[in-house]
Amino acid sequence: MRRAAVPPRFGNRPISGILAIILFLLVSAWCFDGSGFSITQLLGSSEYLLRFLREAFPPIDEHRLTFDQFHRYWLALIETFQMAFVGTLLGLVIGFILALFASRGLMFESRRSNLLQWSVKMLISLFRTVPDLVWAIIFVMVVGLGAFAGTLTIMVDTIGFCGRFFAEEMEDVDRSSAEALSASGARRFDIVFAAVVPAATPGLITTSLFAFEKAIRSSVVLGLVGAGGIGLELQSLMNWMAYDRAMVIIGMIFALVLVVEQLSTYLRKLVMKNER
Amino acid sequence: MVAIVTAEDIAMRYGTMSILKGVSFALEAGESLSLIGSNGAGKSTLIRCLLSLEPITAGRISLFGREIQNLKPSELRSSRCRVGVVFQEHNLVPRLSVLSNVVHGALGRNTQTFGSMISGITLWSHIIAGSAHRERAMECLERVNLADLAHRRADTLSGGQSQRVAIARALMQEPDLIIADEPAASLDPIAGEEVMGLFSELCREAGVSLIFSTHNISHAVDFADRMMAMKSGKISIDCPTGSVDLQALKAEYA
Ligand SMILES: Nc1ncnc2c1ncn2[C@@H]1O[C@H](COP(=O)(O)OP(=O)(O)OP(=O)(O)O)[C@@H](O)[C@H]1O
Ligand SMILES: [Mg+2]
Repeated sequence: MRRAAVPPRFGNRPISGILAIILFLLVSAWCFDGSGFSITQLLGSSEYLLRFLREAFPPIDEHRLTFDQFHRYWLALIETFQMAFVGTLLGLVIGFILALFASRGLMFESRRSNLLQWSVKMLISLFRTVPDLVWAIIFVMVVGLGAFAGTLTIMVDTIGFCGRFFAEEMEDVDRSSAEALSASGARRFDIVFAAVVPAATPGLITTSLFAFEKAIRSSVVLGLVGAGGIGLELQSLMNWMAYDRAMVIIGMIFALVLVVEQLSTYLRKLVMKNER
Repeated sequence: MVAIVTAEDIAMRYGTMSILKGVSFALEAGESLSLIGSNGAGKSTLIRCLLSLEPITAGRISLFGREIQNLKPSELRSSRCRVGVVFQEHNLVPRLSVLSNVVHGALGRNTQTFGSMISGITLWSHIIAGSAHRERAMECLERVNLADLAHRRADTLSGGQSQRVAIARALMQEPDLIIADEPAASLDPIAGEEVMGLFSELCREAGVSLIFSTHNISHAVDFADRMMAMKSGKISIDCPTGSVDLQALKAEYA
């Protein structure tokens, strides 16, 4: 005879579920109200969109787009890529080092280092929560207009992104092998690099590739506030209402982002293929 | 004789559940001790406590004459590195090669000086390890008959193969004491006998002391000088293996 009662299928969940749905609907209604979202307004302004599109096409017209201009855009696009690459690279390295100290029970006994761990976590949060455009404005102020300000912005943004996710990935690794090494008298520093980092590697690589994709997208926008790259060209063409050439730049940005995303997806698959 | 391990009336709890309830024993240098007991009796927990991987709530544990509860981290490391542990779940680093996992066994040796900090870095992977360490790791793998798998990734091994890698890693430590939690559990009968034979050979010839747990009563009797049986957190039998009543034991534990 079976003694233990079979638990009810739903318990008291239906009531809390219904409450949650009602709450969600209320919050949605309230937010729509404030967001100014309006279908009629969107449809009503279609003539402006049409005007933009009419003037933007054909984007390439040999009377209007000279080779010199195109060459300049091309260099700006390259600069955007270089900014994103260097900024991501530096951000990855610094973010990784900070993540080591931000992960629970990794570099230090979990009981002992709470203050240091907390401060590093806060620093990473600060880097992440302040939007990249704000960082860009600050860095333009500090180091002046140009690519360097953009690179610093991407770096800080990447530290915030990778610091958080690297730390989470290293916290999530199965710690039993780390424990075995600890039982053999290994130092924490060695344990981290001999057991935790190897186990976390696929996650770390995936996150790094996402960080680079994100950096490419945001480096395009940074030019809008003067932090180098192709965004600056786009900004000035839009101001001059030179929509045809703006369209060329938008096309170039689209191609860059697409190529980088495809490449990153391919590399991610390559990494994951070796994992079960 | 010198006591290598002493446990005096140790108690241990997970939350409110009392797992160890007053365990006392002493192990002398060169002695081998087997540990039997049904699932959940507390064998693995006792082993974890001996290495200070779990805090005990009462009693005293000493390793090599030093009480381990109050050691500084560096002192604890130098005690631990003399103990080669083989865990029940093997606990290898999954994405590294077998050889790297074995090389890791040397990480605990001499971690006190600055120079050793640098040499510790070379032990993260066999790729950067010195040739002396690589060769010694291969010797350890040969002792467990796994030399031909040295370059396989640890997460592609079978249960018994990874068990033997874990044993090789423990041998790499050149330990004075080996503690093995069911070392033969995932091995086929022949490999199991071999591994147990290897352990008792180390005891006889290198003077290594041994504690191992097992569900195999004949292993417990054949490969140890002394055996202890655990029953719900207490030691119910502690006697030389020469004098056990095999029939009574089998009736109770097998
Ligand atoms: N992390 C944990 N949290 C709570 N209870 C635990 C934990 N680990 C073990 N226990 C409990 O402690 C008791 C002893 O477990 P232990 O693993 O020491 O048994 P064992 O003798 O090694 O058994 P087995 O033969 O199955 O390996 C069991 O009742 C188990 O449920
Ligand atoms: Mg166990």
